[in-house]
Amino acid sequence: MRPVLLTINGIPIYSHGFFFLLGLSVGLAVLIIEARRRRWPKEEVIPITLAAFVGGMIGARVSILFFNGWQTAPVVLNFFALFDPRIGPGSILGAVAGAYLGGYIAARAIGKQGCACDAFAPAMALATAVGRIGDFLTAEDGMGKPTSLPWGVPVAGPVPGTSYLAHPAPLYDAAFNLLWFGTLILLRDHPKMQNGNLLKFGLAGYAVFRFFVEFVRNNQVLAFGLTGQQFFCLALLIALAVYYGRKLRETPATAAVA
Amino acid sequence: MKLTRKNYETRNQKIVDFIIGFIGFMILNGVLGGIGQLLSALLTVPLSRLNSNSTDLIYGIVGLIAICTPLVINIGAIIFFAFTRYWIALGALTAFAVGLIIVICISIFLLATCFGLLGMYNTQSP
Repeated sequence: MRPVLLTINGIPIYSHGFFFLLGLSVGLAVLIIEARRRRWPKEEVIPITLAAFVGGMIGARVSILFFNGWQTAPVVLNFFALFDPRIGPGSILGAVAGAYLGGYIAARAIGKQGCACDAFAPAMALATAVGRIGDFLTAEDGMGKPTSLPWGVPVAGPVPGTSYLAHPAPLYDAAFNLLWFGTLILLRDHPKMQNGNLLKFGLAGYAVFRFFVEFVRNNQVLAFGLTGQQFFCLALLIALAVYYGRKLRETPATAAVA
Repeated sequence: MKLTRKNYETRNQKIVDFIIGFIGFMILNGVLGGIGQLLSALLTVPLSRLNSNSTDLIYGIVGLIAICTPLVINIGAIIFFAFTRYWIALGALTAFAVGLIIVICISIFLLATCFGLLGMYNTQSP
């Protein structure tokens, strides 16, 4: 593990912060390239991106209340704690929900018809892939359950001086998101992946992956052997199923009227 | 309540509202932070005179309201202005984003603690 990535003139550069910033930068670069390629006007892209970023940061923090319990309220509901660099950003799932909500509200506020969000799908996937490297190097965020698999990584045990092999869960996440980024790039021009469908597909894919990888992570189990993160993933998948179910029902009716 | 959106006719109007939003965000949160500190100082002594059971409950409720209020006000104000005076909302959102980016840049030089290691929680960070 390498919580301190490097030292410059005696000043430590911490892996978590470094890769978090790098992930956001890479995600922003992909977003800008995609927005230009789709010829989206900057008058739309800028406010939606700002709102998605701020919404994502708030969502990441507030969602901890659901995943870790009400005892986190003094920190996660504290507006000013958002600006405390000593506190980690929070949950990526909450960030996704907050970013989606922020972007949606901004799109409505500028009166945009349709969805200007598909470019976010590959951007979020690549940003997450990069950011998770920092989580792995820091070894404090999401390192998994004990394992005897050959790719288990040593982590400090509960007793000082001991260690055990654990699932490198952040690397599973990073690997999936890298593959998912490639998949979304390949699908981005497909006729059925327009007008918000690519983003929803991207979210669904991550939700499925995250649901299963949670079984090798150490997050708090809420009920039925499932963690809060798994319930979130299930809720997201159900919401998407309901949304597309309604769309499918409306389409034949619309065709009949036409 | 029907929200009336302002129509911006000149570039100067947009700039003025953007600056109002940007600086207003900082002033608003400076004031909210100050009020929070003042309330904390004013309420500590009176609350300490109550018996422990009611103190815990009142501390809990008052504390939760006090903690939530700035977040609710900021989010509510940005959304309100987004549909009424768009450029004020954009200014405030920009100030918010700039603040967060500065924090993220600073975090490169600090060891950020995930929620699993803050000591109060019994699980690792999600």
